[in-house]
Amino acid sequence: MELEIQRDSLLKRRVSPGTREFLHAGEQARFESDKDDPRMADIYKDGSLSYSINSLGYRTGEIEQYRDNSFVLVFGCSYTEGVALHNEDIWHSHITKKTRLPIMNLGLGGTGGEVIRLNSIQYVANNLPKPKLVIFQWPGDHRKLFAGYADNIINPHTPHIEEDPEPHIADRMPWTKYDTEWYRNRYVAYPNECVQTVYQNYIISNTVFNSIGVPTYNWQYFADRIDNDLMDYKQLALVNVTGRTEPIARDLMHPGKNCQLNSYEQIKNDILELL
Amino acid sequence: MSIAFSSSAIPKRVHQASTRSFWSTDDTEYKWKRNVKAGVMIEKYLSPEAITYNYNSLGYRSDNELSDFSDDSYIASFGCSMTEGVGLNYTDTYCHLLGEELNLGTMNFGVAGGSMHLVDAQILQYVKLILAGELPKPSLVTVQWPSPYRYTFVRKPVDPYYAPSMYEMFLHNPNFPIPDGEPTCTHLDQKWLVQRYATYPEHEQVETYKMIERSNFLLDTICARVINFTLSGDQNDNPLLNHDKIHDIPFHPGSGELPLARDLAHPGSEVQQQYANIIKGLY
Repeated sequence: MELEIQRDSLLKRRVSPGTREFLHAGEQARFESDKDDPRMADIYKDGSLSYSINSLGYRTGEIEQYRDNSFVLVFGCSYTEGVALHNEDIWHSHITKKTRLPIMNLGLGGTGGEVIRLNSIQYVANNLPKPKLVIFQWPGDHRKLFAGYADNIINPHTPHIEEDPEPHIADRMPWTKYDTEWYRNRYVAYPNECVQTVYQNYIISNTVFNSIGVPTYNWQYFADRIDNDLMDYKQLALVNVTGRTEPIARDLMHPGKNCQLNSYEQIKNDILELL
Repeated sequence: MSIAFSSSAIPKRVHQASTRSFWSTDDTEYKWKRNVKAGVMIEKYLSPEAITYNYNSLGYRSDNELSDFSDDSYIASFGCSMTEGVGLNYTDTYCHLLGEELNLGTMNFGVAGGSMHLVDAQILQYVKLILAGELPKPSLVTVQWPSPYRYTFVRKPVDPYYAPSMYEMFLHNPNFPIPDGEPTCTHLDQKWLVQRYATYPEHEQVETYKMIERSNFLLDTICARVINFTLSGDQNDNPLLNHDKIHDIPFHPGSGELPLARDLAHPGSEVQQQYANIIKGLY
């Protein structure tokens, strides 16, 4: 999945807009392979799970339909996008159930804090509708993005720690082996560079929205955090959930609806107070 | 060269903090003696005391501390050696000359050898502290964006000058060789910089775009008037950038031979005056 930088808009995910049962062919192939797995919940066998993707590639309505101060804007990774989950089971959907405020969901699976930082600036700089509250679900601190093969294309997927780039990828994009080597042997092994990146992501993203009078709320899964003495953790809620709580999501990888609800329960008081 | 980073302050040049010298890391006494001996030294710099480098408590070239200024009474200038004024007296730098023209004080955050990442980190901390009410707001900010291929990597310092809570921002240049020996941070960073960052430009272009956009956005939050420029045309090939926002000032705006500074590498005082005139015209 690639992201396209557009100066006058949010990052654009290069997927076709519309409603579909699977986000991409790989997800469908995985489901076909797993559908008889005893862990596959019945709620995922009836074809009711669908993604409604807007023209920018996000699982949300078109940006223009949101009105100032009447929605909640959320950023995050696959947990926030709701990969392999019904929309109504994602943690932020419970905010809508409680407050009737719609959600603008800018979560993008597989992405990290740098994407959130970039999108935060793009959002405010382009005077997009003003949310009542912004919630940042900070993905894994180690996630790192590298640019792709064209001027304005980002490959937001973090290199694998244990695997080298597949040959067909390394052939097409020879720089990936350098990125993987540096990421594995330097960025993860000596996390100071990562620590500063995480700090910058946090400060900049919050500042851009606070500067236009929009309050922000920050949370992160405990397992996604690395020790960071640049961060003021009083401003970042840590959520502790067990990812294996059944039912697991349709891809048998992501935490399921109960885990999402548990996450919401741990942060709802703070969020509702801000609203 | 390294800079100390912490979350509560502007990046600090610990080795330069509160010092005064006739020489700097790039404009050294050794080079001067060699050039004098070779008979190529510029006449006004024949005295070893011709130039003074005063560094404030943060290690930046200034007679002032930020606390000396009130809101809207000074110009903040970010950049590399061209801004710091290597090989020049401070009164010959474009920032000082611009301040004189506009009747404003100046705070020079230029760092010789500095990178865009360093400027980006400086601006982040600078704006953060202004928004917290800890520093005065500037009347004008000038940002001279250094070469996009320089890079600043962060590591835990081994230098005893650094407090335990500090990180070290270490400046790398792709023209330097990859160090031999064990794959330390320095080795791995330099290797990636040379083999990847400087060789396949797409990542550099995205990073440059990100840094310029967010720095300017942050400066907008303190309502600062900002003038962005480059001195070498390095950004011209980046299609992501808004070239209306970043002015390209010729390295040598005049004609004829380039007047030089004392180190015989950087542009001289006449060129700095031309920079100041051009920037004033943009103001």
